[in-house]
Amino acid sequence: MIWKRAWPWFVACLAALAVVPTFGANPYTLHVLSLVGIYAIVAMGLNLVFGYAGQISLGHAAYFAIGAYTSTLVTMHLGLSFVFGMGCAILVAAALGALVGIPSLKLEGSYLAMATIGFGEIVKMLLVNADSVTGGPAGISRIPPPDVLGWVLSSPAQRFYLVLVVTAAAFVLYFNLVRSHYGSRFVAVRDSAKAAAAMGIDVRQTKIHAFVFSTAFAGCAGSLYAHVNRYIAPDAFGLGESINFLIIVVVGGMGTLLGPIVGAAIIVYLRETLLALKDYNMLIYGLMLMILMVFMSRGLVGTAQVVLRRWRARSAARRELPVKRSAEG
Amino acid sequence: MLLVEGVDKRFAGLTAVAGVGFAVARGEVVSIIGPNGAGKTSVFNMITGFYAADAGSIRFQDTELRHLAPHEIARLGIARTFQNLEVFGDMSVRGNMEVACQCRSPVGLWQVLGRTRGVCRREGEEAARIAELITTVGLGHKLDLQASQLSYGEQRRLEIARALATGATLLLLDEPTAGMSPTEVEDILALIGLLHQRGVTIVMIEHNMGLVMRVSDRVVVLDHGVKIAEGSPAAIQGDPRVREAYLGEGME
Repeated sequence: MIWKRAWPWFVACLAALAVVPTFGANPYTLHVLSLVGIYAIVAMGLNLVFGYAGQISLGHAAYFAIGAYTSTLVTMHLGLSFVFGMGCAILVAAALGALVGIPSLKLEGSYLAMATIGFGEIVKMLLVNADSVTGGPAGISRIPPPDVLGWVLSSPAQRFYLVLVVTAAAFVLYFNLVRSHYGSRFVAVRDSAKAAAAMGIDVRQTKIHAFVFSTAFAGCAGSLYAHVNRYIAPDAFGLGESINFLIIVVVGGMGTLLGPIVGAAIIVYLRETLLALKDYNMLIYGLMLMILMVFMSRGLVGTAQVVLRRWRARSAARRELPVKRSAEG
Repeated sequence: MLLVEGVDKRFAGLTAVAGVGFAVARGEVVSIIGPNGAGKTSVFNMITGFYAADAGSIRFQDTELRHLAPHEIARLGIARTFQNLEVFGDMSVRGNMEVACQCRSPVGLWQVLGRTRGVCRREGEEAARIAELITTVGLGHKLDLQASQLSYGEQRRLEIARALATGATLLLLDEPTAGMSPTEVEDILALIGLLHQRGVTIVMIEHNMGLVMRVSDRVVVLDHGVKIAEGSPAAIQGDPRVREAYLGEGME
């Protein structure tokens, strides 16, 4: 039922975004919109593991970096196409996600957070020091633009369409997963691992599935980022970026379907517009985040859901009241 | 159906369960009673794999359970409820039931991602089964409510419905009426009676002696981790060891 209700909205949103370039949006706007899509993909993955399965990760920038560098190296050094590069990025990020996830998911809460920070720092150090492969602190520039079936997407508008298609595909997978009975396992494990196990759910396997999915999404987004931005350097993949991904999920609404997309749009927009304030931009950014969290602790989508639920309950009560009164009268 | 033989459980220097054994036949309602700290929940935890038994044997339909994980035991057809409520509070009542429905035959991940026809058909079948079970426990009108919004008694009933949704043939209920009002206890009593009629095998830990005596085919009594008596409710009522250890002289 939910699918039948959601598809018209999904198609309408895609159509609305698809006409943006035809209304003369400048290359900068298209680049920012592309970044929203890329961050939304990472946030969808992070929401699976953090919002739905309740496992914190402060190392997602590492998987984002692994995707970006894998795709870049595959296309630049092996001369393979972007599509192949993205496939490799997803596989390598997912494989490393499994490798790190299997031992670290025995941990919980702050211990898990520490382990994921540790992994993030190791990856960043490797990117800085393995300069013969990664270009060191200076990174890699002149990354080829993405190509699909031999067609090189050289303009910002074409790259925007690529991001739109990949984000839409990622959203469909994410939607199918979280709205299926299978996806309800993630929430079950978060709410009560004991009861979940008693319902036949392999708790450890469920956590690992969520983590691997999450890292595959980050790898995919990393690949897009490298070829859309056409320049990557270790500085873009530090702890700050991992925290930024987490902020996107929290601001959008942890464990909500649309939270990652709304969060990505808000955070990318805020970051870009506040850049004009130069020295004060981080001050204002921090202040706005504080205000958001104080008044909307469930995030934008989570708060909207609560308000809607209350409004519906109140409307239902109001509808019942005249019936009761007339019955009493 | 279930055969527990000489199981032990020790925590450091403390022996929680020592050499406990009993059998449960298909379709029976067996109650485990005993004062607090008698080892009743430890026995449940060993049957369902949450504790590893230090000695003895636990067999369910000829399968040894001692070295299986809780989810593997659940998939064999043993479901349980917990002493403290363990509903998935952030999920709807329907969501709680959906989780349980996947227990016996989990859907493949790739089928879910591609949302194949098989997945859609199966979810449709599960929805019908959920509606039937949730109506059985009297929560049919609350299917879309968040589980945490249900009253205490309703959450207890949801736990039982969820356990049944796993397709279990053996149901372990850990103090199903704890903290309930007399009306709610009557509801649970009726529900257990209904499940008994339907052929569900039930093992129950319970402190409410009225309920135990009314619904049980047999009663097992534990005290300080040791089985001190087993028999029909009438025999247990008259057993002087039980009176002394647990029921007290007022039990008539």
